Amino acid sequence: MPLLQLLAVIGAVLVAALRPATWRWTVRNVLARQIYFTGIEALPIMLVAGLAVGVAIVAQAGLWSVKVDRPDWFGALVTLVIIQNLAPLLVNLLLISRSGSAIATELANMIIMDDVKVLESQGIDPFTYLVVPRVLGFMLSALCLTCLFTVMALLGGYLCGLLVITSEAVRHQPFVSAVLLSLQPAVLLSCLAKTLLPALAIAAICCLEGLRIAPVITAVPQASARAMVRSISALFILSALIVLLEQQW
Amino acid sequence: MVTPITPAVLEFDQVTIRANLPDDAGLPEATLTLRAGELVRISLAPPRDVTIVADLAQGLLAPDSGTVRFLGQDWRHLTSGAATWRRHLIGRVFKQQAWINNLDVDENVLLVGRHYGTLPLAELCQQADILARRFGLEGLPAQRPNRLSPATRRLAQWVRALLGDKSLLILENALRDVPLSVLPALSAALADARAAGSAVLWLSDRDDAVPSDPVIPIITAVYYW
Repeated sequence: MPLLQLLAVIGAVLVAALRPATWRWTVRNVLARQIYFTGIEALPIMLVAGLAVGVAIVAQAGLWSVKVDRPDWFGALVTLVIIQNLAPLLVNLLLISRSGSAIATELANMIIMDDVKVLESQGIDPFTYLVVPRVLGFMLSALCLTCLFTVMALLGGYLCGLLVITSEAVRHQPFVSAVLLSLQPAVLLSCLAKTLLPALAIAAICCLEGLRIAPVITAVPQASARAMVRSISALFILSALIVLLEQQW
Repeated sequence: MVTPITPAVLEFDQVTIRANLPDDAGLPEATLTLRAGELVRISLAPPRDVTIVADLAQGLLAPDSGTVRFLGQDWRHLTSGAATWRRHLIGRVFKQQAWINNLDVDENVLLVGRHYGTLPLAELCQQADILARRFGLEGLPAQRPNRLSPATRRLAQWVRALLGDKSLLILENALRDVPLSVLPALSAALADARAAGSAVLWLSDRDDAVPSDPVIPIITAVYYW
């Protein structure tokens, strides 16, 4: 039944997010904190990772497009690999290890310390206060970080192209226009889906695993580990499903 | 002259909690009516726990039999949203140090007021500050709960419970860790809350010393459960 529970949590989050009454000051405050923790504090690692991935992918794309004698594929290869696949996958993977486990641990500790009961007894719905802003903050952060990751990866690729790629055929391809020409709406939609859907599932899994522990201290690391494993599984499964759906369209 | 009967704030009607463990006494057929402005003290014999009664009063624990009504409504007949909303009308001093540990104490104290936005922020902060100073604190502590002394945390719990217009105050072993010098101020604050229409449910373990007159001047009734 964990899948049904997960779907119920996701549904409840989306419904709650649409209700204006949800967005009281306290909930907005938790949302802001979550975006700060998940999005802003993760910026340095994401930018460095983006740059490094860009260099690696562009170097490979340059090399292979020459080897197969199709230098015109260069832009499409870069777009397909970085924007459509790697950026959403790597950003979500980094967020699982950085924020997903933190969310599960924090919520599990709140169960142990009776913080959740304190919220309930004061008339604050724990789901609205704890889960909704965390899930939405995680999603928004994932979306923004994917955009920045992509920009850094393309920048890294551009610099790499200038400095490393020696093939005249590829060097004479204007990098920016080659990439921009490959950026079709379907590519952007695919990137959006591969970022937001797994992020939604990951954040919901981490909240669920954190909140449903038995109130004993040894359950906290178990909840954190379970959250990470299930989040990573969900990420790969959802990414694969979206790829399969793309083939059908 | 007949004193007008104020509306019932909290009613226990034959409320029973079954004992599940050998060292658990449960709660057998407890009945009480607490009206606006009244203060009822309940002294619980060990191993009965004040938290069970407080949780029942707040609708956080459903009785095995009997009915608990708050402001005339059975908790069990309320939707989750309605029950949550009603709970913000209850101030509670917990037996344990009950805080949201990833917030500072001042943020904790102001949390409900800011969540429901019943008062402008400046006024809310001012009320909290006045209460804190009345209880001998130098304003609301802007530190994590675990960095404060038990006495400061307990007094901050009092501030949190009394802040805003509460229909019901639930006090669990509320004088534990409190310096004797603050008792008159707490008593006066309770009297003010009662005069404003709050009902007070004072719960204490049998071994928890609760000073009677003149510290708590008018107790409406004392029950021994």
